[in-house]
Amino acid sequence: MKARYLTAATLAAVIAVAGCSSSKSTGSSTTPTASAPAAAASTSAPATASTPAAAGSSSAPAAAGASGTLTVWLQTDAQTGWPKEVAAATAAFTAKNPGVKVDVQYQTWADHLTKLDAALAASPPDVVELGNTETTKYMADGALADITADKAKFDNSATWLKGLADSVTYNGKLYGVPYYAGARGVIYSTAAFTKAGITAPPTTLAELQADGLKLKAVIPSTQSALYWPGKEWYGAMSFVYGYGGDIASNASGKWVADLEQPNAVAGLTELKTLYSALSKAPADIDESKQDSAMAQGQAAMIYGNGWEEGSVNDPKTGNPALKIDAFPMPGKDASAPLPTFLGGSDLVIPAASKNVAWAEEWINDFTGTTGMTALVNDAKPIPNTTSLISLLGDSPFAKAAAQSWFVPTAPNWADVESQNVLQNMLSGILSGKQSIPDATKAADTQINTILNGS
Amino acid sequence: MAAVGTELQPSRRQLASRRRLPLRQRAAKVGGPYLLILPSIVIILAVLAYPIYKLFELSFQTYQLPQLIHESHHKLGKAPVWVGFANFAKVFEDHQFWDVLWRTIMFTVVNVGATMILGTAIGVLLTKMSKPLRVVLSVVLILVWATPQVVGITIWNWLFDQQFGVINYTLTKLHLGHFVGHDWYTSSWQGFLVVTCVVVWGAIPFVAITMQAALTQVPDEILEAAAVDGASGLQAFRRITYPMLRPILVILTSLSVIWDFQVFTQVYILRDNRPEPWYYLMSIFSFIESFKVHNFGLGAALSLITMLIMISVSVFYIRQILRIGDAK
Amino acid sequence: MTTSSVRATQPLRRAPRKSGAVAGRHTKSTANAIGVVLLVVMAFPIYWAIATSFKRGVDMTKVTPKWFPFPGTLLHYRDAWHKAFFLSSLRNSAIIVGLTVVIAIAAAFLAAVAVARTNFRGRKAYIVLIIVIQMIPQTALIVPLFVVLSNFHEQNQLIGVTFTYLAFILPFAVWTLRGFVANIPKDLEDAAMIDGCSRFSAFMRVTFPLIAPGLVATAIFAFIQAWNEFTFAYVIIQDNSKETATVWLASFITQEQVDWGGLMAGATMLSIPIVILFLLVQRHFATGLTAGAVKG
Repeated sequence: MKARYLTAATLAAVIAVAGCSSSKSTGSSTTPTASAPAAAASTSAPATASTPAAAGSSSAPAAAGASGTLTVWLQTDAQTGWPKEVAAATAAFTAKNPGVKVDVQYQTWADHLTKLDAALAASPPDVVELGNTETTKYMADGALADITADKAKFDNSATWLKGLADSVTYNGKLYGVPYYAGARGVIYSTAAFTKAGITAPPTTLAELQADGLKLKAVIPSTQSALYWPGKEWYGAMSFVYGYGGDIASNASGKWVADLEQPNAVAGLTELKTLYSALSKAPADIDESKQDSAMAQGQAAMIYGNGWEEGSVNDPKTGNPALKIDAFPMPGKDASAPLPTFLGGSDLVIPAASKNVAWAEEWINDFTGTTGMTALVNDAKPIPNTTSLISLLGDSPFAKAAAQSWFVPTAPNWADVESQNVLQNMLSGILSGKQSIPDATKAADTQINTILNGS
Repeated sequence: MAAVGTELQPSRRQLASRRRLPLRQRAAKVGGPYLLILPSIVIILAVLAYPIYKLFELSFQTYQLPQLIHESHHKLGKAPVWVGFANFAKVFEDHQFWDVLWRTIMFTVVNVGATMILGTAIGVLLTKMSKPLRVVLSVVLILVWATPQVVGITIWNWLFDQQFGVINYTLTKLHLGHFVGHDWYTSSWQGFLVVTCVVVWGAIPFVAITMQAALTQVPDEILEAAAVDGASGLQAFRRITYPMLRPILVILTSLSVIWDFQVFTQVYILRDNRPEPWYYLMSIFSFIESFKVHNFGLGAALSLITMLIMISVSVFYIRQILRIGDAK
Repeated sequence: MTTSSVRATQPLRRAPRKSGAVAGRHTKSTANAIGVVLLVVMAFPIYWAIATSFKRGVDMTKVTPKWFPFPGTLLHYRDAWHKAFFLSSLRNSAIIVGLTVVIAIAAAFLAAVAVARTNFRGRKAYIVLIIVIQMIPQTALIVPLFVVLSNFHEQNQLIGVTFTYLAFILPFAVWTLRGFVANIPKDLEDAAMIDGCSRFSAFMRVTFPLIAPGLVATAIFAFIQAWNEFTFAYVIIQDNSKETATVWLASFITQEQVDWGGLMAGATMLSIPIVILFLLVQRHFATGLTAGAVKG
C-alpha cells in the first residue's frame, strides 16, 4: 500500500498542525475488550464454522471492572419518540457495567446504510438499528454477528413476532433482535360511518365492500370511500397472502416467484374489485401522502399504519378536527383479519464489533420485558413479542398484528424493491392497463431474474 | 521568468540589483510558483490520493459486502479477488448502461444550455438595473443558491405535486389544459422537465453572479470610447465585452458540464429515494450499484467510465484553456 | 490616461454607470421590468418554503393552494428551535465552513496567481490535475475517504470534514480565480512597475482590487458549497453533537413521515446567517467595483 505511506507522510505534517484530538471512535483496535480470554461460563459455541460470520466473537460475560465504550446507532424515531426509554436502558446497563460508556448516536433514515457501509470498512459500531427489510443482505454477506447460541439470553425470544423474527433469521441462524413493529389497519372517519348508518366495523371483505358502497352513497363525489393508492404494495400483498398465496418461495433451493399462481391471482382480483368500486385515488401514486389526503377530506377510509392516526390528526401536518378510529382489515372470512405487513426495526450487531457481549446486554436492557413494557406504554408501537401485545389493550392495530407476513428473505430482495417491480405491476393492474395474468407473469419473470441473479 | 523580457529600460538601480541578486533570491524567483501551488497540492493529495488509487483498484476487483468487512477485520469476510477488466466488460455489455449514458448526455446538454443562456442573460440584466432592484434580486439569487438541496427539491416537488401542486392548479386556471391530477413522472420526458427546473433554478445564481462580477471588470472607458466612435450596444458587446468574457464563459460552461453530468441528488429525491430505471443517470446507476446492490467493484468501474467520458469530452476545452493561458 | 479628458469633452448624457456597457434611456426601465418578472419566478419557491413554515398542517396540502399563510402558526418554528442539536449544529457548520472558506480562498488565490501569471514546469500538469479531479464522482470516494480519515483518527472530527471539503472545493476555486486573474492584462502591472513599484506592490495596488469581486464571488460559492454539503458530513461525523446544519435538517425526515413545516422552518432559520453575510459582503463588493473603476 505505497499510496498509504505517501499519504501518511504528507498528512503527518498537516495533522501535527491540526492537533490530533483523541477520537471518539470505538470498537477500534485500541479499545481493550473486557472479556478475559479464558471465558469460563461462556455459552458461545464455536461450532458454527461454515458461515463467514464471526464465529469467534466471544460472548463471554464482561469481567467486573472492565472498561471501554459501547457504540449504539439508533434512528431518529427513538430520539423524538422515546428518548426516556433509551436513557433507562443505558442506565440499567451502566449500573451493571460501571466502567463502560454507552455512546448512543442517532441516525437519519436517508443514507444510513451508506454510512454503515463506510463504518464497516473502518470501525463499526456495536449495535445498529436496521429496518426489517434492510437486514437480509447484511445477514447473507456475513456482516452481522451470529448470535444463535445466545438466543435464550433475550427476554421473550420464544414469543417474538413472526414478522420480525423472520427478518433476523437466515439459514436457520439468528443475527439480530426484534425491536418494534408497526401494523396496518383501516383508519376511518367516524362521522362518515355514522352518516352512512354503519354501526359496527366489517368482519369480512364482502362486508367491507358493502359498507364501502353505503359510504359512497353519502359522501361527496370527490371523496373515496376507501382511498387506495395504486402503488401501495404492502397492502396489496396482504391480499395475496390473505388468500393463501405468497410472493416467492424457494423450497427447491432456487427462488420461484408465485404471483401468477391461482391463490395470488384470487387475492389481487379481490383487490381490484374493491379498488374499482370504492377508490378514486390514482393508480400510480404510493401511500406517502394518503394521510394528507384523509386530512383534506378526500378519504373516508385509508389502510395505514398505527402511527398514521397521529399523522392525520397532527396540527402540524394534518387536521386535528377530524375524528377517526380504526379496525383491522377484514379477511376472506370472519375467522381472521387479513395478514398485515409488519413494518418495523431490528437491532443487529456487526460481526466486526469487539463488544458483542456488551451489545447483547444493552439490547436486552432496551428490548427485554422491562424496557419493552415501558416503551409500549409510552409510545405505543407494537412490541416485539406477542406476550406484551395485551399492553395495547384492544388497539385494532395490535389485533391486526396477530396475523402478519414478511417479504421473501432473499439476499437480493432489496433489488426487487428498488426496481419497483411490485409497484409497477400493481399500477398496471389497478389502472386497467394490464390484465392480472399478464401483469403477474411479467412481474414473476423479473423477480425470478433478480432473486436468482448473483 | 517572464519579468526579464518585458522591462524595456531598466533603471541603473535595477541593473545593479539584478547583478547582485543573491542565490537565495534567485532560488525564490524560480521556486516561487511551486511555493504558491504547494498548499493546494498538499491538501488535495493528502485527502484524495488514497481514495482515487482505491477507486482504480476497486474497478479491477470483485468487491462486495464481504470484502468491505474484510477491510476492517481481516479474519472476517472475504478478500478481494482480482478480475482484471471483467467489471468493465460487464458494463459495456449491459444494454442498460448505454441507455443511461445516452440519457445522461442529453440531460447534460439541455441543462448546461439552459443554465448558461439564462444565467448570462440575467448577469447582463443585473448590470443594467437600478441599484435597489439589483440588490433585491442579488439577495434572492443568493437565497436560492443558499437553499439546502433537500429543501429546494422538496419545494419543487410540491409545486409539481400531482394532487396538491400549485403548477397543476395554475396551468388549469390559465386554461392551458386540464392539469388537475396530472402526474408529471409517468413520462420520463416530463419527469426530467421537473428535474431540469430544479437543477437550472439552483444553478442560475452562480452563473448570473459570476457573470455580473466579470462584467464589472470591463472598463467603462473602453466602452465609452467605443460609443464615441459610433459603435452600437450590440457591436460593443460583440467586439469588446464578449472577448473579455470568453475565459470566464469557458470556465463556467466547463464547470456546468462537469456538474450537470454528475447530477444525482435531484433525481434521487424527486423519485422518493427510489428512482425507476428510466430515470437513471450515470451517477445514480453507479451509486445504486455500489450501495444498494453492494457491488462496489462494478460501481467503481462505472464511476471511472463516467470520469473518462467527461475527460474525453473536455479534451477540446482543456486544450483551448491551456492555449488561452499560454497566449497571455 | 485619457479618461478624464474624454469625460471632460463629452456632453454628459448620463452619469457613467459603474458597470457594463453605456446604457440608453430605455434600457434601465426594460431591465427593471424584466428584473421584476425574474424576481417573482426565482423567488416563488423560496416564498413558498417560507410560507409553508407558517402554515397550519391542515393548510399545507390543500387542493386549492392557500397562497398566504393566514391564519398561520408559529408551532413549526418553536419546535425547530427546540429540536435537539439545533444550536450546536449551527456552530459546527459555522466552524467548518468558516475554516474551509478562509483556507480555500488563501490557497486557491496563491495557486491561481501562479498558474495565471507564471510559466513553470508542470504548470500544464497542474491545470490538468485541477480539472480532472472535479470530474471524479464524489459518491465513489465515500468509503475509501472514510477509511483514510479513520486511519489518522480524523473521522468524527470537524477538521476531518474541513479537509474533505477543501479537497473538493480547491480545484474549483483555483480554476475560477485563475480566470479572474488571467482576465487582468499583465500590462497594467508592468506599467506600474515601470513607474517604480516592485512586482509585489504592483500586483497588490493594481491587479488585486480588480479581482476583488472575483474573490468575493468565489468565496461565496465555496461558502455555500460547504454549507449545503450533506453526504460527507453525514458519513464522517458520528457524534450527534458534532453534526452539521444540513444533517440536522435531515433529521426532520423520519421513517414514517416528513415534518414539512419543521423542515421549512429549520431551513429558513439556517438561511438567515447566509443572507446577513451576503448583505455585509455586498458593500465590499460595491467598494471593490468603485475602486477598480476609478483607478482604471
